[in-house]
Amino acid sequence: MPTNSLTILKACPAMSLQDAGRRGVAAWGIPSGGAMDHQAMQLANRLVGNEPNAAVIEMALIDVTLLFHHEAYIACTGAVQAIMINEQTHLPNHCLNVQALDVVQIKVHPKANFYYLAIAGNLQAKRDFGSCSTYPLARLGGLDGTYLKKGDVLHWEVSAQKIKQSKVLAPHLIPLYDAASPIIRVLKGPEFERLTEASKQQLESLELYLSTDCNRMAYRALAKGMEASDYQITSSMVVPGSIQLSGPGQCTILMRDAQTSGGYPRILQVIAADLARLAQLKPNQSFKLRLVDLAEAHQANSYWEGVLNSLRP
Amino acid sequence: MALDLRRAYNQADLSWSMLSEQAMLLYLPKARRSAIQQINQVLQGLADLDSTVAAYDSIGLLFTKPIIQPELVFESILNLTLDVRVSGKPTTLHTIPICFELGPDLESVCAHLKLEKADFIHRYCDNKYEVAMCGFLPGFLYLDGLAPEFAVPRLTQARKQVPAGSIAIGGTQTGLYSLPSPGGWQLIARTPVSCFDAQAQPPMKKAIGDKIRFEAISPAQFNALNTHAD
Repeated sequence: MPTNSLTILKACPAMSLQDAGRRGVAAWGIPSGGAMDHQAMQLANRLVGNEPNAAVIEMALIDVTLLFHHEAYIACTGAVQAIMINEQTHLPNHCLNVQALDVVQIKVHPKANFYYLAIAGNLQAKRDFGSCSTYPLARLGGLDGTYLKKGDVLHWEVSAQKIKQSKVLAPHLIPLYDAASPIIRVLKGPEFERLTEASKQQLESLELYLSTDCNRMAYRALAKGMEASDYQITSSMVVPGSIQLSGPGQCTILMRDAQTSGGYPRILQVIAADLARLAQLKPNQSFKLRLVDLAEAHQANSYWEGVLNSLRP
Repeated sequence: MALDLRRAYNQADLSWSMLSEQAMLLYLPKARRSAIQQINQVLQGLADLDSTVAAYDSIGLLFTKPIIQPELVFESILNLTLDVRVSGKPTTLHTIPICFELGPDLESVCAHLKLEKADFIHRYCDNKYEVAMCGFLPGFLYLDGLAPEFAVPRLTQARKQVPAGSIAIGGTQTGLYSLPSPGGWQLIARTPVSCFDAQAQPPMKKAIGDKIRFEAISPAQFNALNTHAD
């Protein structure tokens, strides 16, 4: 089948193909994977008329340059400041039309990490366990199981449906990344009761600081004043969003490529709707926690489903 | 005899907690490995199940949808039917060839244990091991059955890259790294056999409860059997 293509002229660290991740694989120790900011990925896909969890390009931290060999409808979301098409500035969070031989440079937002490019149609990738999410450790997904690099060529099949070029996100859906100390909502984890009384009482007033030790597997954060009675458990299941306390003030927040089991107490669990926001926090940035119950977590997730439905083509 | 889980297993010894909106934990602190293995098998019949992570005293259950009423999920778990006559599937025994010459930490491990290499190798291979858990990383096998006197501390600094097929000891545990990955356990040997194949269904042939026997091979035999890319 004839396909359209682009070449990566300038890549960034951990540039990868991602979708919603894998299902049914935890038993073998395989992480679910998937876009770090799944909400930005879903918005980008909606802008170009794709299914919300269609494959996208995930980029981070520095600018990326692409050369399009064919016409395409594209959208950039997440940590994007501007998109330059042949040196002309365009806004992110719009559906844009690019032509063959256009050079597209995406400028990263200085206050966040991950950004996404969706292309109208079906981005071609290696699928493992039903997902193209790139996981280099087991060589899963992507083009060949590794991160994307300069010179790689990406192909896509154009979808038949009509694209609304003017499609743009409502302002309230565009994150500003400017909150001084954003609030991340959490559920009590299975070992919540191991927290000392003092830690429980001041949980919502604590300032947590992200360390520089952050990657697709886990973000480490310093939570001065968060202490537990004991810092070991018998190895048991963990999932993305689990907050492990490995020592006084030492939080490990598990992200998309996290391991499937762990031996530290799971004190808290970031709600699914806020894991995207957390993924965008920068090293040394502070944030606060707010404890919610299961019903409120479900509500927050349903709200997001509602947003996605409202953007249906 | 078929019994539901509530009767086959003392209900007072079963409990649950939430992990995330779509995951919960089933605790079975008094269950033997064979019981955990058997219960893990019947759990696979639950509606909307994504997958389970069977561990030492818990089974994690990840669902494909949000868990709205966890009490009802626990109720449906208690109603699952267990055949109490058979203790799960018959035990599978795998023999894994391993080359001790390719264990970069073998010398220091033997020095720590004050053992001759030949003596250590003989005693390590004389033992039978059991797959206790699969996880942490894709294809990593936690094995039970390490002789208590073979416990060695973990490396003070983890290796950035452990070769695929490495057999290792970390504390009182022994295990197998199926894929090249970072790791802090001491590497005593390496198997030429691949234990994880993403293209195979299932990707791993060794499951929780399976028995493992190790067989020492020479570097020449390792090379003849080698399936690893590096």
